[in-house]
Amino acid sequence: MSLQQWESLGTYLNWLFGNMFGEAQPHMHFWMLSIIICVSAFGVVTVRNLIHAAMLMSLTFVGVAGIFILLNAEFLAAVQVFIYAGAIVVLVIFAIMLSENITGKKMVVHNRQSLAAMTVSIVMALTMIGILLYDLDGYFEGPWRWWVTPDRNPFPPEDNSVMIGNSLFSTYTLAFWIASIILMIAMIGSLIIARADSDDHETHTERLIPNGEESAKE
Amino acid sequence: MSYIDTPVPIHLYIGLGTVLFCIGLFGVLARRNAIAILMALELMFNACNIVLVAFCQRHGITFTLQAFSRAQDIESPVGQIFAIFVITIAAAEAAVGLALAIAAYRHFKSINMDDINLLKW
Repeated sequence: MSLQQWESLGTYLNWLFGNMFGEAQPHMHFWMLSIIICVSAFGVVTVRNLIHAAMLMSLTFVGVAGIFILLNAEFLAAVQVFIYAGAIVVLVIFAIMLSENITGKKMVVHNRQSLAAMTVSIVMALTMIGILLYDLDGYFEGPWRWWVTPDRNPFPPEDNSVMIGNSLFSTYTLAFWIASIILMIAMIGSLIIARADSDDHETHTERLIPNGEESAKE
Repeated sequence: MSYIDTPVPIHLYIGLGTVLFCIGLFGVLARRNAIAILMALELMFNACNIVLVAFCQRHGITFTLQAFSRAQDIESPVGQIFAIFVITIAAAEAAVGLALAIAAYRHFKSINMDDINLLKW
């Protein structure tokens, strides 16, 4: 390839990956979040232990919440963390534990990883404390700039949740109502589906009958 | 080159959404466990949300001016509203799907999707 072709290839790669190979790296946050999301999502679909898969899924959802913050959708990021990383992962773990022979072996509850867990949580605490102190003092200046600075204004002038609330309760009110009805139907339906079978129900009611009546019936 | 002058180009978000969607698709097709299939489905929903919010951030104002006459001045959060409804439906889907998985486990003593073939043919 000639020099001109190499230059055009470099221009194309810079366009494709957003100046990833340039000197200034403006999209570091996006790339870190992308790597976290893709690696953990690949773990979700390949890991054998389903509990590990659920934990990796939680990590994926937190990464997607970071992507939402990069896109100036703070309310959606909070909703993502609450609903996905909180509720749905807990629901999945409950379902895994309710059907316990999924992995073919009994669930291991005891803890052999307390040292690793302690290391991870201590490093996490030091990192968060460091970032907090750093931002309070230096306001995104200094050697950690590439780490803490988002690529947009960290405090946007208009409030994202106010915007979403206005439009959700004016333009999209009908969709809001329909979504609430769908949620109620799904709640009732899942309760009915996941209830015990009719056999279990009968044995349960028989157990409730006092002994005298049961013997009289027999 | 400051950070505010160079936002992340939108095709990067679309590429991320595509990769995540295809990973989820692989999980749906390759997994045998019903709960694992549901988890891969959640990944696919998240990929859709990423693409929706990215398009909303770039093109939301244009869509609003064309579609709604009342909301001309505000920046439109149409894609974010779509993403909120996607999250709502995904929560309902997860609840019903996991209830179905538990019911199937109780009936078949297994949630291997190869064992549940009553409706096949």
